[in-house]
Amino acid sequence: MLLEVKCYATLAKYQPRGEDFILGPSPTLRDLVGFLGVPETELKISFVNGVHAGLDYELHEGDRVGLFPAVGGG
Amino acid sequence: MERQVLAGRYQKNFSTLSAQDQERLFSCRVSLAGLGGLGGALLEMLARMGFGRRGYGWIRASDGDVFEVSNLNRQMFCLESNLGLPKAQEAMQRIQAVNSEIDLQVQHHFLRTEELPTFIHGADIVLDALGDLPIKLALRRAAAQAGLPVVTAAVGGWTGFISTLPASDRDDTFLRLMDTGMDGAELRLGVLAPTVWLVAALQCREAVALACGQRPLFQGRMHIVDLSDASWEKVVL
Repeated sequence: MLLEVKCYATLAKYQPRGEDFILGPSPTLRDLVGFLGVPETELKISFVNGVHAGLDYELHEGDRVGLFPAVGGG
Repeated sequence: MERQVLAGRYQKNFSTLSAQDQERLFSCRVSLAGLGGLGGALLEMLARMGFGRRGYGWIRASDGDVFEVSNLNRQMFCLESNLGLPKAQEAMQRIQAVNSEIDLQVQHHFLRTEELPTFIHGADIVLDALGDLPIKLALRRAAAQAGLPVVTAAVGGWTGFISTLPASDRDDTFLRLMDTGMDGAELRLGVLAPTVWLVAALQCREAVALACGQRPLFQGRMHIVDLSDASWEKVVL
């Protein structure tokens, strides 16, 4: 499945190199997060195509996914 | 300085701002929490723009911290010569030098959750430049309860975000999403001057929108700016 993924800030270390992911049938955002190895405890806000999406969101070909951690510095 | 010399102080705000807009900035009452990286740069910009002019409006700011050597990389008011001195006091001195027309009140005090309603009382706009997630979220909650607009922003490494809660909005998705215990990315990534100053500039821009009765730029959304790849994501919450 082709996806555009961006892992922000402390999650950058989980940033995948490619855009093609083997996730099985009807994959969810949770499946992708697991595939990337991002601990759910480090994930604060996830979004797809510019809209907040929970981990149960079912991914579609070409989705643009963002994974964002807690950020609180001033 | 002679009044004549300073008469043109706001000249370059026009015509992007109208005379009426400028008066709205003068009359604006701002509560600014935090005078570190975001807060220092933000206060400097507010003062230069003409927010809170004496006799019209005011700026109330609070920070209980003193400057330390690790602030020198990004905090506008932090100097080698004022290490160990209160940020609030140094902010006052700086703003006096930048724009003595501003009615600035500073408190050398770390705000506690129960003090937030008093801190924001009477303000038109609440600006969050605090550096710790729990109190940031408490400020957002207090502003929502008081029916005041609040501009929340934070930074970590090359990444920053901004999100405005308008006065009318009580259902705050941002707060629900952010409100669980977790260390902020800034603890591991540090905080860099370009990110901080950029995000502070966005907060000042939003303050102008709110003061002038324009549609807020960052309401209902979280804008994530990432200087590692120059990306800008607008997330609908």
